[in-house]
Amino acid sequence: MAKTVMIVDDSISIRQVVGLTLRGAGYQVIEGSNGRDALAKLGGQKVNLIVSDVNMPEMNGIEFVKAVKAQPEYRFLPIIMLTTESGDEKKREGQAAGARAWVVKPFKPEVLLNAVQKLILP
Amino acid sequence: MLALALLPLLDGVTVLECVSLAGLAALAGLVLWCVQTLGQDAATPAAGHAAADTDGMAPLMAEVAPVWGRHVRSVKDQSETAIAQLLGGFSALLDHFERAGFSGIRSGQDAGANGSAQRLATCEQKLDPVMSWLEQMVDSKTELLTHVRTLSEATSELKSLADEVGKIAAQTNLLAINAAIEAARAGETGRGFGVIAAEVRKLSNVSADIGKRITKGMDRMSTTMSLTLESAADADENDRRTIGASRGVVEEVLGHVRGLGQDADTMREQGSAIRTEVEQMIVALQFQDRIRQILEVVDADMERLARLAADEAAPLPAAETWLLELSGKYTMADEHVSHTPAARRADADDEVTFF
Repeated sequence: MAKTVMIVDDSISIRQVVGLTLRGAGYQVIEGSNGRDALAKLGGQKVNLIVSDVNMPEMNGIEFVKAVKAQPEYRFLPIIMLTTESGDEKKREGQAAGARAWVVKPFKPEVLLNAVQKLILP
Repeated sequence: MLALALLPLLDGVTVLECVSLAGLAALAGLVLWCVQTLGQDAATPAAGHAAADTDGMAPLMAEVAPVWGRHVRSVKDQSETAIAQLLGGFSALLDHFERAGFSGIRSGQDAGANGSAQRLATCEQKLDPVMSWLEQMVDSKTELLTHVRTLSEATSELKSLADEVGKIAAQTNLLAINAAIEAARAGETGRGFGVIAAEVRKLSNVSADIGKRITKGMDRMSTTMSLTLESAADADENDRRTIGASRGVVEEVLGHVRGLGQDADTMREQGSAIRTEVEQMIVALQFQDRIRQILEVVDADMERLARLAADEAAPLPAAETWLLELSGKYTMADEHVSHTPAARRADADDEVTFF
Protein backbone atom coordinates (compact mmCIF):
# COMPACT_ATOMS: atom_id res chain seq x y z
CA MET A 1 0.00 0.00 0.00
CA ALA A 2 1.29 3.44 -0.93
CA LYS A 3 2.68 5.55 1.89
CA THR A 4 1.10 8.92 2.59
CA VAL A 5 2.98 12.21 2.69
CA MET A 6 1.39 15.48 3.79
CA ILE A 7 2.55 18.67 2.03
CA VAL A 8 2.03 21.91 3.93
CA ASP A 9 2.70 25.11 2.00
CA ASP A 10 0.76 28.29 1.34
CA SER A 11 2.06 28.37 -2.23
CA ILE A 12 -0.14 26.41 -4.63
CA SER A 13 2.70 26.07 -7.11
CA ILE A 14 5.02 24.55 -4.50
CA ARG A 15 2.29 22.14 -3.38
CA GLN A 16 1.83 21.15 -7.03
CA VAL A 17 5.56 20.70 -7.68
CA VAL A 18 6.10 18.67 -4.49
CA GLY A 19 2.91 16.71 -5.18
CA LEU A 20 4.07 15.83 -8.70
CA THR A 21 7.47 14.77 -7.40
CA LEU A 22 6.05 12.54 -4.67
CA ARG A 23 3.16 11.08 -6.68
CA GLY A 24 5.63 10.27 -9.45
CA ALA A 25 7.59 8.23 -6.90
CA GLY A 26 4.46 6.35 -5.84
CA TYR A 27 3.44 8.21 -2.70
CA GLN A 28 -0.08 9.28 -1.82
CA VAL A 29 -0.26 12.98 -1.07
CA ILE A 30 -2.52 15.11 1.09
CA GLU A 31 -2.17 18.89 1.21
CA GLY A 32 -2.54 21.70 3.72
CA SER A 33 -2.32 25.39 2.83
CA ASN A 34 -0.87 26.44 6.20
CA GLY A 35 -0.18 25.00 9.66
CA ARG A 36 -3.72 25.42 10.94
CA ASP A 37 -5.31 23.94 7.82
CA ALA A 38 -2.86 21.01 7.89
CA LEU A 39 -3.54 20.29 11.58
CA ALA A 40 -7.27 20.16 10.85
CA LYS A 41 -6.73 17.82 7.89
CA LEU A 42 -4.33 15.64 9.82
CA GLY A 43 -7.05 14.87 12.36
CA GLY A 44 -5.54 11.62 13.65
CA GLN A 45 -5.26 9.98 10.23
CA LYS A 46 -2.32 7.79 9.27
CA VAL A 47 0.47 9.81 7.67
CA ASN A 48 4.00 8.49 7.08
CA LEU A 49 5.82 11.83 6.69
CA ILE A 50 5.20 15.58 6.50
CA VAL A 51 6.90 18.11 4.22
CA SER A 52 6.26 21.61 5.55
CA ASP A 53 7.10 25.17 4.60
CA VAL A 54 8.23 27.56 7.35
CA ASN A 55 6.79 30.96 6.47
CA MET A 56 3.04 30.59 6.19
CA PRO A 57 0.05 32.68 7.25
CA GLU A 58 -2.17 31.78 10.26
CA MET A 59 0.26 29.19 11.64
CA ASN A 60 3.88 29.04 10.52
CA GLY A 61 5.87 25.87 9.96
CA ILE A 62 7.74 25.92 13.29
CA GLU A 63 4.49 26.30 15.26
CA PHE A 64 2.94 23.57 13.15
CA VAL A 65 5.79 21.13 13.85
CA LYS A 66 5.49 21.82 17.59
CA ALA A 67 1.72 21.28 17.45
CA VAL A 68 2.12 18.01 15.56
CA LYS A 69 4.83 16.70 17.87
CA ALA A 70 2.65 17.53 20.88
CA GLN A 71 0.18 14.88 19.74
CA PRO A 72 1.22 11.44 21.05
CA GLU A 73 0.29 9.58 17.84
CA TYR A 74 2.57 11.86 15.79
CA ARG A 75 5.42 12.07 18.27
CA PHE A 76 7.78 10.08 16.05
CA LEU A 77 6.40 11.26 12.72
CA PRO A 78 9.30 12.53 10.55
CA ILE A 79 8.93 16.11 9.32
CA ILE A 80 11.01 17.75 6.60
CA MET A 81 11.08 21.53 6.44
CA LEU A 82 11.03 22.77 2.82
CA THR A 83 11.68 26.49 2.82
CA THR A 84 13.49 29.38 1.19
CA GLU A 85 15.05 30.08 4.60
CA SER A 86 18.63 28.90 4.77
CA GLY A 87 19.89 30.64 7.90
CA ASP A 88 21.43 28.53 10.66
CA GLU A 89 19.27 30.19 13.33
CA LYS A 90 16.07 29.15 11.57
CA LYS A 91 17.41 25.64 11.05
CA ARG A 92 18.12 25.39 14.77
CA GLU A 93 14.55 26.51 15.47
CA GLY A 94 13.27 23.79 13.19
CA GLN A 95 15.47 21.16 14.78
CA ALA A 96 14.40 22.24 18.28
CA ALA A 97 10.74 22.00 17.23
CA GLY A 98 11.28 18.42 16.09
CA ALA A 99 12.00 18.56 12.34
CA ARG A 100 14.29 15.82 11.03
CA ALA A 101 15.60 17.52 7.88
CA TRP A 102 15.83 20.93 6.23
CA VAL A 103 15.59 21.30 2.45
CA VAL A 104 16.13 24.71 0.86
CA LYS A 105 13.92 25.92 -2.01
CA PRO A 106 14.19 25.80 -4.93
CA PHE A 107 14.68 22.09 -4.46
CA LYS A 108 15.82 19.38 -6.79
CA PRO A 109 13.24 16.58 -6.90
CA GLU A 110 15.88 13.88 -6.38
CA VAL A 111 17.16 15.67 -3.27
CA LEU A 112 13.70 15.89 -1.72
CA LEU A 113 12.89 12.29 -2.69
CA ASN A 114 16.16 11.10 -1.19
CA ALA A 115 15.33 12.86 2.09
CA VAL A 116 11.78 11.45 2.07
CA GLN A 117 12.96 7.91 1.37
CA LYS A 118 15.58 8.19 4.10
CA LEU A 119 13.17 9.35 6.78
CA ILE A 120 9.77 7.92 5.93
CA LEU A 121 8.28 5.51 8.43
CA PRO A 122 7.56 1.95 7.31
CA MET B 1 16.80 59.49 -0.49
CA LEU B 2 14.76 56.73 1.13
CA ALA B 3 12.95 55.66 -2.02
CA LEU B 4 16.17 55.71 -4.08
CA ALA B 5 17.78 53.48 -1.50
CA LEU B 6 15.01 50.90 -2.06
CA LEU B 7 15.67 50.62 -5.79
CA PRO B 8 18.52 48.07 -5.65
CA LEU B 9 15.98 45.57 -4.30
CA LEU B 10 14.88 45.04 -7.86
CA ASP B 11 18.37 44.05 -9.02
CA GLY B 12 19.53 40.50 -9.50
CA VAL B 13 16.26 38.95 -10.57
CA THR B 14 16.11 36.36 -13.36
CA VAL B 15 14.50 36.87 -16.77
CA LEU B 16 11.46 34.87 -15.72
CA GLU B 17 11.17 36.90 -12.56
CA CYS B 18 11.41 40.06 -14.62
CA VAL B 19 8.18 39.13 -16.40
CA SER B 20 6.29 38.96 -13.17
CA LEU B 21 8.09 41.95 -11.78
CA ALA B 22 7.16 44.14 -14.74
CA GLY B 23 4.61 45.92 -12.59
CA LEU B 24 7.32 46.74 -10.13
CA ALA B 25 9.40 48.37 -12.85
CA ALA B 26 6.66 50.92 -13.40
CA LEU B 27 6.48 51.48 -9.69
CA ALA B 28 10.21 52.04 -9.58
CA GLY B 29 9.77 54.89 -12.04
CA LEU B 30 7.16 56.42 -9.80
CA VAL B 31 9.43 56.04 -6.80
CA LEU B 32 12.18 57.87 -8.69
CA TRP B 33 9.78 60.67 -9.41
CA CYS B 34 8.89 60.76 -5.73
CA VAL B 35 12.52 60.99 -4.85
CA GLN B 36 12.98 63.97 -7.09
CA THR B 37 9.91 65.61 -5.61
CA LEU B 38 10.82 64.82 -2.06
CA GLY B 39 14.24 66.29 -2.48
CA GLN B 40 17.28 64.97 -0.84
CA ASP B 41 16.30 65.13 2.81
CA ALA B 42 14.68 61.77 3.38
CA ALA B 43 17.91 60.52 4.90
CA THR B 44 17.50 62.98 7.71
CA PRO B 45 14.99 61.83 10.36
CA ALA B 46 11.94 64.05 10.92
CA ALA B 47 13.15 66.80 8.58
CA GLY B 48 12.31 64.65 5.50
CA HIS B 49 8.69 64.25 6.48
CA ALA B 50 8.40 67.99 7.10
CA ALA B 51 9.79 68.67 3.63
CA ALA B 52 7.39 66.19 2.12
CA ASP B 53 4.47 67.84 3.89
CA THR B 54 5.59 71.20 2.59
CA ASP B 55 5.52 69.91 -0.95
CA GLY B 56 2.28 68.00 -0.45
CA MET B 57 4.24 64.81 -0.95
CA ALA B 58 3.01 62.93 2.11
CA PRO B 59 -0.70 63.04 1.18
CA LEU B 60 0.24 62.10 -2.35
CA MET B 61 2.19 59.07 -1.18
CA ALA B 62 -0.60 58.11 1.20
CA GLU B 63 -2.89 57.97 -1.83
CA VAL B 64 -0.51 56.50 -4.38
CA ALA B 65 1.31 53.86 -2.33
CA PRO B 66 -1.83 51.76 -1.71
CA VAL B 67 -2.43 51.76 -5.46
CA TRP B 68 1.12 50.51 -5.99
CA GLY B 69 0.42 47.87 -3.40
CA ARG B 70 -2.66 46.72 -5.25
CA HIS B 71 -0.66 46.49 -8.48
CA VAL B 72 2.00 44.43 -6.74
CA ARG B 73 -0.62 42.12 -5.28
CA SER B 74 -2.23 41.88 -8.71
CA VAL B 75 1.12 40.83 -10.22
CA LYS B 76 1.55 38.29 -7.44
CA ASP B 77 -1.95 36.88 -7.83
CA GLN B 78 -1.83 36.77 -11.61
CA SER B 79 1.54 35.06 -11.72
CA GLU B 80 0.41 32.58 -9.06
CA THR B 81 -2.75 31.75 -11.00
CA ALA B 82 -0.90 31.47 -14.31
CA ILE B 83 1.83 29.28 -12.84
CA ALA B 84 -0.78 27.07 -11.17
CA GLN B 85 -2.47 26.66 -14.57
CA LEU B 86 0.87 25.90 -16.21
CA LEU B 87 1.64 23.31 -13.55
CA GLY B 88 -1.80 21.82 -14.00
CA GLY B 89 -1.13 21.61 -17.75
CA PHE B 90 2.24 19.97 -17.22
CA SER B 91 0.71 17.52 -14.76
CA ALA B 92 -1.89 16.62 -17.38
CA LEU B 93 0.90 16.17 -19.95
CA LEU B 94 2.71 13.77 -17.64
CA ASP B 95 -0.56 11.90 -17.02
CA HIS B 96 -0.98 11.51 -20.78
CA PHE B 97 2.56 10.15 -20.92
CA GLU B 98 1.64 7.61 -18.27
CA ARG B 99 -1.36 6.51 -20.29
CA ALA B 100 0.67 6.43 -23.52
CA GLY B 101 2.94 3.82 -21.97
CA PHE B 102 5.86 6.01 -20.93
CA SER B 103 5.10 5.67 -17.23
CA GLY B 104 8.34 3.84 -16.43
CA ILE B 105 10.54 6.20 -18.37
CA ARG B 106 12.16 8.36 -15.79
CA SER B 107 15.77 9.11 -15.20
CA GLY B 108 17.36 6.25 -13.33
CA GLN B 109 14.57 3.83 -14.16
CA ASP B 110 14.44 1.00 -16.63
CA ALA B 111 11.93 1.35 -19.42
CA GLY B 112 10.02 -1.63 -18.10
CA ALA B 113 6.75 -0.09 -19.08
CA ASN B 114 7.73 -0.02 -22.73
CA GLY B 115 5.09 -2.61 -23.48
CA SER B 116 4.90 -2.00 -27.23
CA ALA B 117 8.60 -2.58 -27.86
CA GLN B 118 8.59 -5.68 -25.67
CA ARG B 119 5.56 -7.09 -27.45
CA LEU B 120 7.17 -6.42 -30.84
CA ALA B 121 10.39 -8.13 -29.74
CA THR B 122 8.28 -11.09 -28.60
CA CYS B 123 6.55 -11.17 -32.01
CA GLU B 124 9.95 -11.30 -33.70
CA GLN B 125 11.15 -14.07 -31.38
CA LYS B 126 8.00 -16.09 -31.98
CA LEU B 127 7.87 -15.60 -35.75
CA ASP B 128 11.53 -16.22 -36.43
CA PRO B 129 11.56 -20.03 -35.82
CA VAL B 130 8.22 -20.66 -37.58
CA MET B 131 9.96 -20.99 -40.98
CA SER B 132 12.46 -23.47 -39.57
CA TRP B 133 9.60 -25.56 -38.22
CA LEU B 134 7.82 -25.54 -41.60
CA GLU B 135 11.04 -26.49 -43.42
CA GLN B 136 11.61 -29.34 -40.99
CA MET B 137 8.08 -30.56 -41.72
CA VAL B 138 8.68 -30.52 -45.52
CA ASP B 139 12.04 -32.25 -45.08
CA SER B 140 10.31 -35.02 -43.13
CA LYS B 141 7.85 -35.50 -45.98
CA THR B 142 10.72 -35.64 -48.50
CA GLU B 143 12.36 -38.36 -46.43
CA LEU B 144 9.08 -40.28 -46.45
CA LEU B 145 8.95 -39.87 -50.24
CA THR B 146 12.44 -41.36 -50.52
CA HIS B 147 11.30 -44.41 -48.54
CA VAL B 148 8.24 -44.80 -50.78
CA ARG B 149 10.50 -44.62 -53.85
CA THR B 150 12.74 -47.35 -52.37
CA LEU B 151 9.62 -49.45 -51.75
CA SER B 152 8.56 -48.96 -55.38
CA GLU B 153 11.94 -50.20 -56.59
CA ALA B 154 11.61 -53.24 -54.33
CA THR B 155 8.20 -53.92 -55.90
CA SER B 156 9.74 -53.93 -59.38
CA GLU B 157 12.25 -56.53 -58.25
CA LEU B 158 9.45 -58.65 -56.86
CA LYS B 159 7.60 -58.40 -60.19
CA SER B 160 10.69 -59.63 -62.00
CA LEU B 161 10.94 -62.55 -59.57
CA ALA B 162 7.29 -63.38 -60.25
CA ASP B 163 8.09 -63.46 -63.98
CA GLU B 164 10.94 -65.87 -63.25
CA VAL B 165 8.53 -68.07 -61.33
CA GLY B 166 6.25 -68.16 -64.44
CA LYS B 167 9.16 -69.11 -66.69
CA ILE B 168 10.27 -71.90 -64.30
CA ALA B 169 6.67 -73.20 -64.19
CA ALA B 170 6.52 -73.28 -68.01
CA GLN B 171 9.81 -75.17 -68.25
CA THR B 172 8.70 -77.57 -65.50
CA ASN B 173 5.46 -78.15 -67.42
CA LEU B 174 7.46 -78.87 -70.56
CA LEU B 175 9.65 -81.32 -68.64
CA ALA B 176 6.55 -83.02 -67.20
CA ILE B 177 5.07 -83.43 -70.69
CA ASN B 178 8.31 -84.99 -71.97
CA ALA B 179 8.41 -87.28 -68.89
CA ALA B 180 4.82 -88.38 -69.56
CA ILE B 181 5.70 -89.17 -73.19
CA GLU B 182 8.72 -91.19 -72.11
CA ALA B 183 6.66 -93.01 -69.45
CA ALA B 184 4.05 -93.97 -72.08
CA ARG B 185 6.77 -95.24 -74.38
CA ALA B 186 8.20 -97.41 -71.58
CA GLY B 187 4.86 -99.18 -71.26
CA GLU B 188 3.86 -100.92 -68.09
CA THR B 189 7.19 -100.18 -66.38
CA GLY B 190 6.86 -96.44 -66.97
CA ARG B 191 3.33 -96.26 -65.66
CA GLY B 192 4.33 -95.10 -62.14
CA PHE B 193 6.68 -92.55 -63.65
CA GLY B 194 3.77 -91.34 -65.85
CA VAL B 195 1.72 -90.67 -62.69
CA ILE B 196 4.56 -88.63 -61.19
CA ALA B 197 4.96 -86.69 -64.45
CA ALA B 198 1.24 -85.86 -64.35
CA GLU B 199 1.52 -84.59 -60.76
CA VAL B 200 4.59 -82.50 -61.62
CA ARG B 201 2.66 -81.03 -64.52
CA LYS B 202 -0.22 -80.13 -62.19
CA LEU B 203 2.25 -78.48 -59.81
CA SER B 204 3.87 -76.55 -62.65
CA ASN B 205 0.43 -75.32 -63.74
CA VAL B 206 -0.32 -74.16 -60.16
CA SER B 207 3.11 -72.45 -60.01
CA ALA B 208 2.44 -70.75 -63.33
CA ASP B 209 -0.95 -69.59 -62.07
CA ILE B 210 0.56 -68.25 -58.84
CA GLY B 211 3.30 -66.53 -60.84
CA LYS B 212 0.62 -64.84 -62.99
CA ARG B 213 -1.34 -63.73 -59.92
CA ILE B 214 1.80 -62.38 -58.28
CA THR B 215 2.62 -60.50 -61.47
CA LYS B 216 -0.90 -59.05 -61.63
CA GLY B 217 -0.73 -58.05 -57.96
CA MET B 218 2.68 -56.51 -58.45
CA ASP B 219 1.39 -54.65 -61.51
CA ARG B 220 -1.46 -53.17 -59.46
CA MET B 221 0.92 -52.35 -56.63
CA SER B 222 3.36 -50.81 -59.05
CA THR B 223 0.65 -48.64 -60.60
CA THR B 224 -0.48 -47.50 -57.16
CA MET B 225 3.13 -46.85 -56.16
CA SER B 226 3.69 -44.78 -59.26
CA LEU B 227 0.58 -42.74 -58.61
CA THR B 228 1.61 -42.34 -54.97
CA LEU B 229 5.10 -41.26 -55.97
CA GLU B 230 3.71 -38.84 -58.52
CA SER B 231 1.28 -37.31 -55.98
CA ALA B 232 3.97 -37.15 -53.29
CA ALA B 233 6.39 -35.47 -55.69
CA ASP B 234 3.72 -32.94 -56.67
CA ALA B 235 2.90 -32.33 -52.98
CA ASP B 236 6.60 -31.91 -52.18
CA GLU B 237 7.00 -29.36 -54.94
CA ASN B 238 3.87 -27.53 -53.80
CA ASP B 239 5.09 -27.57 -50.18
CA ARG B 240 8.44 -26.11 -51.19
CA ARG B 241 6.75 -23.42 -53.27
CA THR B 242 4.43 -22.61 -50.33
CA ILE B 243 7.37 -22.52 -47.95
CA GLY B 244 9.20 -20.16 -50.28
CA ALA B 245 6.18 -17.86 -50.48
CA SER B 246 5.62 -18.09 -46.71
CA ARG B 247 9.25 -17.25 -46.07
CA GLY B 248 8.81 -14.10 -48.14
CA VAL B 249 5.68 -13.13 -46.18
CA VAL B 250 7.23 -13.91 -42.80
CA GLU B 251 10.40 -11.96 -43.70
CA GLU B 252 8.22 -9.02 -44.74
CA VAL B 253 6.20 -9.19 -41.53
CA LEU B 254 9.40 -9.48 -39.52
CA GLY B 255 10.74 -6.44 -41.36
CA HIS B 256 7.61 -4.50 -40.36
CA VAL B 257 7.91 -5.75 -36.80
CA ARG B 258 11.57 -4.67 -36.64
CA GLY B 259 10.60 -1.29 -38.11
CA LEU B 260 7.86 -0.90 -35.52
CA GLY B 261 10.34 -1.87 -32.82
CA GLN B 262 12.75 0.81 -33.99
CA ASP B 263 9.88 3.33 -34.12
CA ALA B 264 8.91 2.32 -30.59
CA ASP B 265 12.52 2.78 -29.44
CA THR B 266 12.64 6.22 -31.04
CA MET B 267 9.29 7.13 -29.48
CA ARG B 268 10.52 5.92 -26.11
CA GLU B 269 13.72 7.94 -26.35
CA GLN B 270 11.91 11.06 -27.53
CA GLY B 271 9.18 10.54 -24.94
CA SER B 272 11.77 10.19 -22.25
CA ALA B 273 13.49 13.39 -23.39
CA ILE B 274 10.16 15.27 -23.44
CA ARG B 275 9.25 13.95 -20.02
CA THR B 276 12.60 15.06 -18.60
CA GLU B 277 12.13 18.50 -20.15
CA VAL B 278 8.63 18.79 -18.66
CA GLU B 279 9.90 17.72 -15.25
CA GLN B 280 12.68 20.31 -15.45
CA MET B 281 10.17 22.98 -16.42
CA ILE B 282 8.00 22.01 -13.47
CA VAL B 283 10.98 22.32 -11.16
CA ALA B 284 11.90 25.68 -12.73
CA LEU B 285 8.39 26.97 -12.01
CA GLN B 286 9.31 27.07 -8.34
CA PHE B 287 10.52 30.58 -9.14
CA GLN B 288 6.92 31.70 -8.64
CA ASP B 289 7.13 30.93 -4.92
CA ARG B 290 10.27 33.07 -4.64
CA ILE B 291 8.65 35.91 -6.58
CA ARG B 292 5.62 35.71 -4.33
CA GLN B 293 7.77 36.05 -1.23
CA ILE B 294 9.81 38.94 -2.68
CA LEU B 295 6.61 40.75 -3.69
CA GLU B 296 5.03 40.17 -0.30
CA VAL B 297 7.99 41.84 1.42
CA VAL B 298 8.00 44.73 -1.06
CA ASP B 299 4.22 45.08 -0.75
CA ALA B 300 4.38 45.17 3.05
CA ASP B 301 7.15 47.76 2.88
CA MET B 302 5.19 50.00 0.53
CA GLU B 303 2.20 49.69 2.81
CA ARG B 304 4.38 50.75 5.69
CA LEU B 305 5.63 53.75 3.68
CA ALA B 306 2.03 54.71 2.85
CA ARG B 307 1.01 54.50 6.52
CA LEU B 308 3.96 56.62 7.51
CA ALA B 309 3.18 59.19 4.84
CA ALA B 310 -0.42 59.37 6.03
CA ASP B 311 0.68 60.04 9.59
CA GLU B 312 1.85 63.65 9.57
CA ALA B 313 3.13 63.46 13.12
CA ALA B 314 5.37 60.49 12.45
CA PRO B 315 8.93 61.30 11.50
CA LEU B 316 10.46 59.64 8.44
CA PRO B 317 13.19 57.27 9.55
CA ALA B 318 16.71 57.39 8.17
CA ALA B 319 17.29 55.26 5.06
CA GLU B 320 19.78 53.12 6.97
CA THR B 321 17.24 52.36 9.67
CA TRP B 322 14.52 51.63 7.15
CA LEU B 323 16.75 49.30 5.13
CA LEU B 324 17.93 47.49 8.24
CA GLU B 325 14.34 46.79 9.25
CA LEU B 326 13.50 45.76 5.69
CA SER B 327 16.36 43.27 5.49
CA GLY B 328 15.13 41.73 8.72
CA LYS B 329 12.06 40.54 6.82
CA TYR B 330 14.01 38.65 4.17
CA THR B 331 13.84 34.89 4.15
CA MET B 332 15.98 34.19 1.11
CA ALA B 333 19.65 34.70 0.41
CA ASP B 334 18.63 36.14 -2.97
CA GLU B 335 16.82 38.98 -1.23
CA HIS B 336 19.94 39.86 0.72
CA VAL B 337 21.97 39.79 -2.50
CA SER B 338 19.43 42.09 -4.19
CA HIS B 339 19.50 44.35 -1.14
CA THR B 340 23.28 44.66 -1.24
CA PRO B 341 24.46 43.72 -4.75
CA ALA B 342 28.12 44.02 -3.77
CA ALA B 343 27.71 41.26 -1.18
CA ARG B 344 27.43 38.27 -3.49
CA ARG B 345 26.78 34.95 -1.91
CA ALA B 346 29.97 32.92 -1.67
CA ASP B 347 28.45 29.49 -1.19
CA ALA B 348 25.28 27.90 -2.41
CA ASP B 349 22.74 26.84 0.18
CA ASP B 350 23.06 23.33 1.44
CA GLU B 351 20.51 21.30 -0.46
CA VAL B 352 19.52 19.25 2.55
CA THR B 353 20.46 19.21 6.21
CA PHE B 354 19.58 16.21 8.35
CA PHE B 355 19.17 16.69 12.12
